[in-house]
Amino acid sequence: MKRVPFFCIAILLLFFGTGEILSAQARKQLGYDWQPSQVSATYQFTLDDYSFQSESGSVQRTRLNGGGLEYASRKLYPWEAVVSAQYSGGQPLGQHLLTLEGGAGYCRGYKRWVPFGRVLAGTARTSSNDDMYLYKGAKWGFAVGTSAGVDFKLTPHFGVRAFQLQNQYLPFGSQGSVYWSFSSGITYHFHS
Amino acid sequence: MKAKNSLCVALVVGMAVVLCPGITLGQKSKPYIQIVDSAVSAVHVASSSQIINVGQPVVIQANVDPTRQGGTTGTVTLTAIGSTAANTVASAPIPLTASGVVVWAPPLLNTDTYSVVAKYSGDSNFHPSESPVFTQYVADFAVGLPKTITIVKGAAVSQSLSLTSLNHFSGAVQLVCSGLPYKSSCNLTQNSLVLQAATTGAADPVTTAMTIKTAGETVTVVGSFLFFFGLGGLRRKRRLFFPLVVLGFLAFVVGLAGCAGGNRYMQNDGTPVGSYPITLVATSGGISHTSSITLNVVAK
Repeated sequence: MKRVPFFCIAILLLFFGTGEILSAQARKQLGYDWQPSQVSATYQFTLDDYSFQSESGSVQRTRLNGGGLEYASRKLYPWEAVVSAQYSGGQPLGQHLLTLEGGAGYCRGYKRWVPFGRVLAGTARTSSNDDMYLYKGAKWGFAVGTSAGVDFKLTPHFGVRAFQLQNQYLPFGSQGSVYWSFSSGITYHFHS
Repeated sequence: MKAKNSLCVALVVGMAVVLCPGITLGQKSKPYIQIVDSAVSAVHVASSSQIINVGQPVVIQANVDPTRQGGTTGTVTLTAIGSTAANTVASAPIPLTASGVVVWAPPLLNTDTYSVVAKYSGDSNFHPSESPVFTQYVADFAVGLPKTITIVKGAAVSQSLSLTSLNHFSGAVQLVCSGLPYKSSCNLTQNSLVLQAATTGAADPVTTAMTIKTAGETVTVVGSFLFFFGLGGLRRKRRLFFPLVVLGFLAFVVGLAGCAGGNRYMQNDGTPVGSYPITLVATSGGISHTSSITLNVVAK
């Protein structure tokens, strides 16, 4: 668990590093646009660090599909206050994963593009049809999520989330679990 | 010369008349009847091996005594009488060879103790006869084991298995267990048991233990993904840190594409709950006995 904060910092550094490299070339031409608060709905594909060995000997990796809802308040732009709810399920163990998190983010708007990075924390619940992690029932635990992505504004109110890459560290299993997710979806911007 | 011969003949006849007054010259004697009765015969039976294993061929030979110069004729019928009536077999009448021998290969298909008897039909020179009983053993062994074994998933159970010599069987018997469900095993304390024929009465069984193990549900840590966490040790090596973060990011993308190999957790559900037929094969030479055990794997 001591490494988790460091990982979050790493993600942010990646985000900022990418942003700074981009901005170094375009700093003179681009100004940082103010960005409104937004809500996003995304499809999410998740890979677990968990696999199942079947009777035939083949190893099947757990893959989850689901969705997420997220609200990002940008009253302190470029800083964000973010709350997120994600749910996904998949095979081969029939896992259902729910995460409810809140945290801080940072974003910068470059014309239509808005790269962002977030660090969230909250709770997660896992359950399965096949005693995943040897849990006989549902299990709750503390979740830490770190993500980075890019939104693209189509209109003043609507946009798309081009992609969001997310790492979640969950306390499931003897050594904790790591879930990697790719998300894409739509965004709605609140203009006061 | 003629006169001398005539004188001698007359002298002999005269003496015969004087010495044997019963003789009447010029008459034939009464016929003498000599009766020659058939001789007593004897038959003896022996086999190529008094103890054979079931399925093994055997040759039974009957000898008729005495033999007559010029050939003993007649037939011999052999009968192997099992202790179970259904096992009894008999030959057709078999003509004797010139040396008074008959050979028979009876189909002794079942384990039993057979009483073999030969009956000689006799001929013009010999009376019929019957041989003493010859005991022929068709040996086998019996396997004793439970019909059903119930085991809790993830547990092991040990059961006794016995082999018993039947009809003077002796030899080594190999045991093989098969047909087990996923993630389970069958181990025999001894894969080969040696059986001895009993000197008197029934043989004592020889036992060994058969242990069946099943696997429970397990989760193991089998490897490691290239996670950003692994870069924690580089916090102080700032020059390497950022490139490695980028490298980690690339690894992440590769991992999402399904190209990453390692996994951190591996779950195996162990032996599935259910009912399975297990086969135990006991083999010795040409004898093979296949027994079936029903293995019931039940949940905890």
